[in-house]
Amino acid sequence: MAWKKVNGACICGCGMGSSLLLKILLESILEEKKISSNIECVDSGSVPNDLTLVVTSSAFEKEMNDRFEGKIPVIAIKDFYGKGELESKLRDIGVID
Amino acid sequence: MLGNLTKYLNEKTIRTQVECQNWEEAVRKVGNILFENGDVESSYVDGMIKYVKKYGPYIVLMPGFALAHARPEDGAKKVAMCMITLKTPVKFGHENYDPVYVVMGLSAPAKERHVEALADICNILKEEKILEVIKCAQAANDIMKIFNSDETLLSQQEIAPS
Repeated sequence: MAWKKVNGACICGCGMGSSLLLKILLESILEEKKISSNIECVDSGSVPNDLTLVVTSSAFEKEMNDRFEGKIPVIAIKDFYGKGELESKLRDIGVID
Repeated sequence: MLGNLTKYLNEKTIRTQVECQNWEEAVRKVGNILFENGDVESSYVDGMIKYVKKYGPYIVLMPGFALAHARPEDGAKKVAMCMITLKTPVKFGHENYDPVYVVMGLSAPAKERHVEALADICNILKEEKILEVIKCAQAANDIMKIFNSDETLLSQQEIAPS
């Protein structure tokens, strides 16, 4: 079962470069799958608490895993070209079917 | 399809075949274009370098391409972009995407006001051929032509010899 709603954050060093690219990719995938979402872009120092999903660049993977300790899924992305990597990782954790 | 970009990337903001010794010089040169155009404070340029030193080369988003930026509070005054292409590529220390030929600079005083322009950058990143043309361009105008051309033109575009 795919998720009904995603309350997510896209995280990078400044919250406005790579995180915004991730947000654009994430929203377009979720929209395609008709999953409602509220996605914020934030820098790694100001991550909100009430999240259900974190998407970040692989540079911040360890920091985010340490921070969330497995309580919510953290997806780390290396490939910013297209939706491929993000889509398959969303499928792996069951966000999309 | 990339018409949005010429609002930001034009003769004033693109420099081609720039000589740089290392990544730091490349990021500084890109930042100085924003500074000279009055888009950022000088502290913003320092910030662009600071975050790479702090977090590593995460601004290298694809083979040969880096998106240099800092945080709004570092001194961003306007939404602005600029671009330099390097005569000789530099290494940022990225495990897969070094060396870097094209560095884009970005400034945004508030988050997410530059979504459309970044979405267009996404489109560039997807097209390997576009980056190749940008990499080889001798003048700003060569790059602007690509942004203004539609997809049909683009597919007919010859890649300039390097």
